[in-house]
Amino acid sequence: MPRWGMVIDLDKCTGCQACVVACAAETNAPLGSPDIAAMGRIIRWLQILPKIEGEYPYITADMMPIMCQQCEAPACTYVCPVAATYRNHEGTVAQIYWRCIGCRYCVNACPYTLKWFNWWKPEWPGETAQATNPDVELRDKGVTEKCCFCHHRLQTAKEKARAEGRTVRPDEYIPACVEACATRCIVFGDLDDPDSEVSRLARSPRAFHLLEELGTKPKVTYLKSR
Amino acid sequence: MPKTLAILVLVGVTAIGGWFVVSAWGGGSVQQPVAYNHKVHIDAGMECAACHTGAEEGTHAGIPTTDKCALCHKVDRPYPKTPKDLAFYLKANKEIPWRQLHRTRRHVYFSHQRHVALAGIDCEKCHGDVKKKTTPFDRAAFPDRQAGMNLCVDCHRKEKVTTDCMACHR
Ligand code: HEC
Ligand code: HEC
Ligand code: HEC
Ligand code: HEC
Ligand code: HEC
Repeated sequence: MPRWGMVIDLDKCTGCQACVVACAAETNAPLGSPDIAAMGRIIRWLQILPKIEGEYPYITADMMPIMCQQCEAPACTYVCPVAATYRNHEGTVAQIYWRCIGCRYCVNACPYTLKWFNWWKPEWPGETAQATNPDVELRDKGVTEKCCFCHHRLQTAKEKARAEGRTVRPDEYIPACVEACATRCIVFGDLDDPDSEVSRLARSPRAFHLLEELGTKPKVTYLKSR
Repeated sequence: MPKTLAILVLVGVTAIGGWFVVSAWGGGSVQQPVAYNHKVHIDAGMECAACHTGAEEGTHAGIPTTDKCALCHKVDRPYPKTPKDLAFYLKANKEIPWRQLHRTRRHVYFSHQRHVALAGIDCEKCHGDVKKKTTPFDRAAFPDRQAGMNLCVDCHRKEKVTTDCMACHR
């Protein structure tokens, strides 16, 4: 049984945000509006968290792509009263939109604040309405959503592999952000396969996790020298 | 008298409500553009996948385009007999606007290949006995009229296939 995980090499990341755009397009993120942005309620499952140190002009900037950290001990799943969010047998933290009752417990429980609530009916103005990805649900008002490692891509990859009588190959199931990354700083794969690139990198001395001290055991690992 | 009025209103509401219930559950309501007949074609030796080309190796089974029908049905040929409604679309070289009735929702991932080719499940399990059907579909023929979660999960439990929500939902 694979355990899907991700490694993001911050030494390679240029902060170009191609992953942010790829994610939004792949997963039908509603556009939002300036008003919604002013309230801090724009929904982007994958964002760049900038960390600026020093005083201008002597600054160093860290650009950190952040998305659902796919915890092994996910705080959000412990508080969900209806099991709309849970950790499945492959370790991926699911969000079943139609099961969600919109209580927002999980949004508040997530220490990374990487779960999003639909405060309004999402809109896709003009032609964008015809350009949504049919493999991904359009979440409605009152529902919480988050990154599920482009799980819809695994569904089709599994079927293709099954038809050919084998298991999913590492290059077959790749989330949209990984595919779009120009510097290949995001690596995805099976953490339980000791030979996979992702598990090798996750064991690197440069590896760290976000808010490691909380014990959530994320399956998204960051790499950084210094 | 207010009491008779109340009774009259009650009777009216029940009648209208009942009509809605009956029309929703009873006979079909959708009219297909051509009086298609599955039985004559199956009896003529055609396979389901000859017309529903995705039924064995695709996600969607698909409904055949008019050029498929034109392989056999020619307006100026007596056999196979081409009814007027079909002849109209063939002459105009237009697609027949079939109404698709079997659908799942966007948040459900269902694939025909997985069930027909890989699991070897007969179409009949989900769509009823199409081979004997002499009229076009006027409503979905799923066992419960719709492909609700019970249809899927009951069989998955029986066949020991995954019931992980994430296998079907997206
Ligand atoms: C392989 C050849 C073939 C193809 C392809 C084909 N048909 Fe037919 N069709 C027949 C035959 C054979 C009959 C029976 C004719 C008869 O009994 O006179 C028939 C009969 C019919 C009838 C009359 C049914 C009845 O109740 O008598 C209709 C309507 C019809 N076809 C529609 C279609 C449509 C629509 C398509 C395309 C989706 C199509 N056919 C494709 C061979 C074909
Ligand atoms: C396990 C149940 C199941 C079996 C077996 C099955 N189907 Fe379906 N079928 C469905 C469901 C569910 C849908 C709705 C799919 C959707 O909305 O994507 C559907 C839709 C269809 C449609 C509508 C058009 C389309 O592209 O979706 C056709 C035609 C169809 N099936 C034909 C077949 C044929 C032919 C077979 C046998 C070779 C078959 N089905 C076997 C469940 C089944
Ligand atoms: C000659 C081509 C042809 C063949 C062969 C054929 N079908 Fe169809 N099928 C059609 C057409 C045309 C329609 C649309 C008209 C209708 O709904 O009856 C259709 C509709 C359907 C639908 C309903 C689709 C929807 O959701 O509206 C199902 C289910 C279906 N077929 C199953 C089968 C099965 C099972 C077989 C094999 C036993 C089969 N078909 C063989 C042409 C064909
Ligand atoms: C009659 C039995 C039956 C019905 C009804 C049925 N399934 Fe299945 N399903 C199976 C079997 C058997 C498999 C395993 C196929 C294989 O061997 O690859 C399967 C596999 C699947 C898979 C792949 C699971 C995995 O391991 O990733 C999905 C997704 C799925 N079905 C969805 C559905 C949905 C959605 C419905 C209802 C619309 C449905 N199924 C109805 C028997 C059924
Ligand atoms: C084998 C496939 C399958 C599995 C496994 C499955 N579902 Fe479903 N689910 C469906 C189908 C099919 C529907 C019906 C969609 C429709 O309304 O046409 C559905 C509908 C639903 C709905 C209702 C949505 C609506 O349309 O109102 C909810 C809520 C739901 N599922 C939650 C879950 C949860 C929670 C789990 C895991 C415990 C789960 N499902 C597992 C196939 C599945």
